[in-house]
Amino acid sequence: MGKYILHRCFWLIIIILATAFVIFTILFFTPGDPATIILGGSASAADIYNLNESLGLHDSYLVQLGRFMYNSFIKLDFGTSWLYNTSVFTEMAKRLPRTLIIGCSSIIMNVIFGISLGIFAGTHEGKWQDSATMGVAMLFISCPEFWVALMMILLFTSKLGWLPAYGIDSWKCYIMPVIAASLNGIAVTARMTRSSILEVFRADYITTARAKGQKENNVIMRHMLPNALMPIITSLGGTFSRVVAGNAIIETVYSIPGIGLYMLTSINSRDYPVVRACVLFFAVFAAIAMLLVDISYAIIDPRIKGQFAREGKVK
Amino acid sequence: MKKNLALIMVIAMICSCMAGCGTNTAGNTEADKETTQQSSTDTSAVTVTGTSEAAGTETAVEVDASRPTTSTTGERYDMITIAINADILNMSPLDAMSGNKQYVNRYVYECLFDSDGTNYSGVLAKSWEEVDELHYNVTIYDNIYDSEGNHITADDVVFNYNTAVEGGYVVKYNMFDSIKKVDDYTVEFTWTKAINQINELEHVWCHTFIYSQKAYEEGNFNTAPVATGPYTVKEFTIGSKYILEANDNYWQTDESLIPTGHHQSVQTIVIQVIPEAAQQVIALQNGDIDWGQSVASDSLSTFENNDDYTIFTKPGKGIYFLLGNLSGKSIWSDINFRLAVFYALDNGAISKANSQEACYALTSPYFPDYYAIWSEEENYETVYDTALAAEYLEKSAYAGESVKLICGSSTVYKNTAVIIQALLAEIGIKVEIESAEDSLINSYLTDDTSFDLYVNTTSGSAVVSSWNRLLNNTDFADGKAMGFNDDAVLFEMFQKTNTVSGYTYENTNALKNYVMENAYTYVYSYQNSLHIYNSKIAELGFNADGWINVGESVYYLD
Repeated sequence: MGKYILHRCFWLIIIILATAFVIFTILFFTPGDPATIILGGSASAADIYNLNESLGLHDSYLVQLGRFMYNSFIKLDFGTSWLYNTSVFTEMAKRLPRTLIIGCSSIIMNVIFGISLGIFAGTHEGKWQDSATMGVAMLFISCPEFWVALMMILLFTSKLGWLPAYGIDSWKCYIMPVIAASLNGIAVTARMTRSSILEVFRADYITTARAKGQKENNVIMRHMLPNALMPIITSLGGTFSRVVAGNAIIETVYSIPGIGLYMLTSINSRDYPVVRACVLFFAVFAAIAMLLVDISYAIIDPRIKGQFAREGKVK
Repeated sequence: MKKNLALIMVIAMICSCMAGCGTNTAGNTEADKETTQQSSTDTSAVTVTGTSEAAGTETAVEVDASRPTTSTTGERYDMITIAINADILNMSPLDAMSGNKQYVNRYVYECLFDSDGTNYSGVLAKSWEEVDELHYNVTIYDNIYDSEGNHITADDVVFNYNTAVEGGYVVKYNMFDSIKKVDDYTVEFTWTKAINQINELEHVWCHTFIYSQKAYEEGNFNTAPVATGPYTVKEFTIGSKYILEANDNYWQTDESLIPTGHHQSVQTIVIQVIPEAAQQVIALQNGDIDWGQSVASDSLSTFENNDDYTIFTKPGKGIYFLLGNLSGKSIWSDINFRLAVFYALDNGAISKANSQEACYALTSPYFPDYYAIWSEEENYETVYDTALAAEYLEKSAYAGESVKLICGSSTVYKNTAVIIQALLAEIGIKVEIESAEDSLINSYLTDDTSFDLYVNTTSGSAVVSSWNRLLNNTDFADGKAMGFNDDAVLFEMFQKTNTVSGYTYENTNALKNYVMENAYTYVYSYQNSLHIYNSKIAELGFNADGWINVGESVYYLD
């Protein structure tokens, strides 16, 4: 197992370097002029040229790439945002907790409600409970996030006055964003759980467990669910890796200054240091998330753990 | 059953997508000032004498005289909350004054002067004198202290200017050579050339902030600036909320010397960042904010006939224009084609569609130096004549090809482009529209093969400065004006008009007529900014340059 983790860490480094190269190249060839945005419409061509010069944007591709790679991986300095004038890392560190609150909360809701609904639907296959649950899931998948977000604001803020519509002043500000960000994931998880449950529902060992007199809850939780979890974990792992990328739409609608909004603003404003740093960070996080998913396979499935023990690598 | 359910869900999804699409920052709000290409290089120590009133479309707001207000009692209002639609990013005094920085930085920092577009009025500067054409002396007040008690002297002023230049974010500083201290409160500016253009020193004198060198070196001005302004920053959460408190130690204690935009009629200003326009409308309805930058004309019906809100329109300095590619690589080089296009445009219809007001003399009648007689003249901006347009088209070399119209990505530009496309189709001109975000527009404007027509906005502080981006050949690197215009006669006329001595009716009128004879541009509308605010505010205040200023506003105290 340890060998496997080391092996994955080695590939993590390769992935990060490749990601850095790709994102730098994409941004280099993306049209748009950061100096024009920074200086505004009053600036003359000379002003724009001078600022681009001072930002190093007139250097050749290789020079800029080399400087970026050296600063990022040797000096571990992702630079200063051209717009915000603050260290990229410091600003990301400030915004990350807000994004994680929304992301992790929505993952928890995803797990609790998604799996519960999926089990409920799967164990009532063909009945009205199954149809109703899947109907609700389809509704959740169909509704765009921003529409749900705005409708919730109209209802809970404008009509009922229960919840604040924007900002980060209190915990109440996060209720609607979390719900809006969760619905889609709950629906997907519910559908996937239902499918997985149905696959194991008629297995011999389930029949045996029932025949032995196990309570239905035990049958579901101790026999069905562990065997049905593998695809669910894969899906949740992918969702988790996107948590730090934030949900730019939700953050924009609810005016939450998180990582998603930070990156969106930076892309629109051609704030290259921020975009590069954010993409690298997402890549690292996604790679670590996938590693954790693979490790969890071993924890859940003794067969995979045995494989690791025998061979030290995944087939 | 399942099929029916699936069909219902699909219909619901399609309806949702159509209902959810489209945000709006329609053209009647201060939001458009972000996309405005400011071109105010005008004004110097001249007094303009136009014959225009301020466009006559400013709403008359009646303040209830029976109620106590901040202006009648001299007291401050407790707290006001406004919403802006984009983050101000940071409070560094070195950054260019673009975007929403106007909403915050102007309360905290001060410059040597303010400008109303034609004249400089001292803020930190007590006086200035012209030593010779390349040297100006500026004397600041000797009692200026920042919010932490640091005394501002000539050393700080020299430091500020040198730091601004070294920072690389200065704009329109081409005439600035150097600055040096003369005595404790006097500095000498050295210019690279004689200053003779209207408002030529706007960016150097009116957009460069003054602060203590000591405070700057010891603190973090990006988030916690220390400056001389009427307000201080109490809380700064990037992307979320900024709270400003009235500076009780504001250095200027002589009320008669406090200029417009530097008053403190409210104790606490809370600035919320709410990017979504619909959110701002809801927040205004709920009383969470008192004014919103993006509360625009399409939410008018929500607030009309409601005594709890006031709807105030104020003509703006921004003008929307259409011009084309005169490089010789486009049909636009043909004057008959240009005239055909211009006579086929109905600026009244275009303006109305965007809730704006039509222009008739290449500029906004908002400017004090606009001559009312211009609106009576017959030209392609006052006449909409498709028959005449067809005649010009017949004479032109247009052979039915598609012309490419580029525009910005906001709703206003896209609306305008679609209307122009429809109007030109009536006389047989095919138009292909391409919208581009602001960061990409410049790449189009510098590529003479990438467009035929171009729609955008610009502004200024006087008539001639509103034409700066359109007619001045010094803003682009190739020595031509926007649209690759290389008419030397035009540039000579513009430069002559844009001087202190040359800014006369005769020269301005001649310039306007020359542009129209050659059909170089069509200015179809000007901004009529719409403000909706709640009943706390008796009268909305503005800076000298037209930006809303809540510290300058009048509030009811009961």
